[in-house]
Amino acid sequence: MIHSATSGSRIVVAMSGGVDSSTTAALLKEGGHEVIGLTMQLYDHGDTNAQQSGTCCSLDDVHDARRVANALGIPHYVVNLQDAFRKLVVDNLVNEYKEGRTPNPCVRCNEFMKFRLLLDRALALGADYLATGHYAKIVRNPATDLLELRRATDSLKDQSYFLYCVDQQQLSHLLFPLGSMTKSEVRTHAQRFHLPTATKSESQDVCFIAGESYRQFMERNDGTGLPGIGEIVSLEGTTLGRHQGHHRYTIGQRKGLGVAHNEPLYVVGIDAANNRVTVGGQNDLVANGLKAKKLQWISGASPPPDQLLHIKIRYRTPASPGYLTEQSGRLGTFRFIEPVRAVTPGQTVVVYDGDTVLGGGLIDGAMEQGQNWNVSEHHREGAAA
Amino acid sequence: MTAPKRRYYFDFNATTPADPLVMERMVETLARTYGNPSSVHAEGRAARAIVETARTHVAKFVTCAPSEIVFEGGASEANNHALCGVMRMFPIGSVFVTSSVEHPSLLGAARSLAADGYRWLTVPVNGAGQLDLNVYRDALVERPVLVSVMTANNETGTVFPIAKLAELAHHDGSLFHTDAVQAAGRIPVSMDGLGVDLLSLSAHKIYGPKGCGALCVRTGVMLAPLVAGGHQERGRRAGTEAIMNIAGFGEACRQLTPEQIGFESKKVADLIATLWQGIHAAIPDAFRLGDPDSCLPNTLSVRFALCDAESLLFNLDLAGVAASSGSACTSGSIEPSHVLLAMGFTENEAKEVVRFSVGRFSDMEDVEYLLTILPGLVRRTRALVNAPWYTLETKS
Repeated sequence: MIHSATSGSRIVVAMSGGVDSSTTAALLKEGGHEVIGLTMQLYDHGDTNAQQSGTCCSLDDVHDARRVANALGIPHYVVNLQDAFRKLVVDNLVNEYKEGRTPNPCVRCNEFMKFRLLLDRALALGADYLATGHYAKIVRNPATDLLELRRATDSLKDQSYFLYCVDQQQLSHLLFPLGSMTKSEVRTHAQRFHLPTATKSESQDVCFIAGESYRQFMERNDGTGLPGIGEIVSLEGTTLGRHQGHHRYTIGQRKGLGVAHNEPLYVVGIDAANNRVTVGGQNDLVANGLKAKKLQWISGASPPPDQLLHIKIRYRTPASPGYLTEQSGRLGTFRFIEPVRAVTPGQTVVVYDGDTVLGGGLIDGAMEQGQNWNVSEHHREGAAA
Repeated sequence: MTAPKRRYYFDFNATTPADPLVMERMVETLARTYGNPSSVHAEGRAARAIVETARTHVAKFVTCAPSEIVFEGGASEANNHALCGVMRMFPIGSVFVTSSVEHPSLLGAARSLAADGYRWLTVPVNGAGQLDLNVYRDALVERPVLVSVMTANNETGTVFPIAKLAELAHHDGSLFHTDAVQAAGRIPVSMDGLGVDLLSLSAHKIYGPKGCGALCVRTGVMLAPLVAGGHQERGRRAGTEAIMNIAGFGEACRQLTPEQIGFESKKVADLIATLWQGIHAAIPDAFRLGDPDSCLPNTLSVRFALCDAESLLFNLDLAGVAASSGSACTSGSIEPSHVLLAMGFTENEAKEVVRFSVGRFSDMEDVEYLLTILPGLVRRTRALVNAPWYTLETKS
């Protein structure tokens, strides 16, 4: 049973100024609820030149959100969360790169900005729910009476991967009304409501650094604390070249190494303490398992070691079957049935049972990487792509 | 949760609704008078008459000669004109003095002058928002060309001893400007009484239209124009006069006789006293900001500790009450007030302050309604601060 609001609820909609959240607000208003729009201001519009369109929460988007709210006749407020965003998301991003990991700021933004700070604000406004335009479903399982997070109907738009970090308490106050719709249905609704944002293009990349790379963003924001020139070494320890700072690299990266070699080389390891980037062939990239930290489970309980899981280690990579073989506190070990490519520390591991998100955490490291020399053709193709 | 039946307006310091007679005068002007006041024909003369009648009303309101009134496109322009218009008559490097709690339009003009090479000295305020007189005297030793201190602060309501400050400045040969936008109409304000050389006024804080203000300039004060290219306003501000706005502004000033100001200030003082008593009784740890001995009668600035003012304002708005806090930034979100920071509040404390301001159309029913909803909303908003993530967010 889809988790939905009882009629006449007070619902805060997180309005980014995009078509999805605009349509969410319009649908809830049409459904007879008391709808309030909130837009997060995440960085200072006065002193950045970050006015690129196609980013979430730029000044234009705040105006768009306001126009939509005005057209719908709902109250709309902008909440200033820029200090928190800097501390919780931006600083974390930079620190993770400094420590040789590849973070996922969108997961962190959902976890902290939307599902804690914004949800708290919604509840402080007397709202029963916070609704967002995310593509995922919240379903109450009648057998367990627990709320479950499920993949969206539109598999191309499914964002459940980014939403794993919620508990029962948070889910009970969250609504994702678009989870059962396709993007084209959402556009049709937006046109039906004559929303000013109906034809707006999709937001791309990470909102606050669109228009430049992570590297450029970090170097512009925090040039002093970043690593400098270091060595690129082979797995055997031979120095193959030099790099301009390990933060410029991620596991599985092939481009930009500047090292001539007779076969393609990939980043297989980043040693932040020694500012060293290790490269190897594609076989050196595959791993049999991973260690995870900060694991959390939506039901509150971790899956048993014999439960077959579908484990996603990257948003755009399909889930791989495997098991949670060990868990101690919030640390855990996953083992895959077939080896996977480019397990990247700092990225998010999200655990599914079919379409249901069980939970997830952060990847701490690969297990048995490069030890599986009998890589199937399937993985060779994946690596070459 | 049902929507409130009507609105309860507690933000007269941000802007006032237009008075019905002001509206009448403006509509009548727009409908009947279309001439250019500079034209020689009958239509022009009719328009000129409206501007000059209004000018006499404004002049009478602040006790100066009509020729000393320069109509401006609002008080932000008047403040810029006062500071830049005077300083640009003097060489780069000349000194000027302001308080640290002036309106952003005045501070903005000061920053641009400082960037051009003028020397800007600021005088800090204490925890009650009052000027530090010793620092003020020290600043005068630097022989400033111009001193600018607001008559009353818009956020805290603190009224400054302008007559005394102007006298000290004149003693050292400085010119004195006061931004009287917030004080005008709430307490007696006059060029004579304050003894100032320049004074800024806004129409929309005294029940007139937005986009209209005046700079009152004593005869003999040299003032460079901000907008060049026309003879209007004795060459001090080019551009065809906004006669509809000016007519409304004049009417707004005409109504504000000393008796009317006395009557209104008594009424709003009673409302604020009732409001503050009620708040204090229901929320004992509420703290009133400003100088209790020298405060605008219509302004109540209150800190509710551990209560996020932004969320409280949203809650109030949803319940039908308009109040304010800090200043809106470009995106419309609220930033901590520079005035409160200057008074020594931390950023987090400044984010806990809400301002209620009343005026001509406020009544006891407004106050009673606010008092019925405020304690519950403060409690609800405080629950947010008790959430662990608020602590994390505000921890520096």
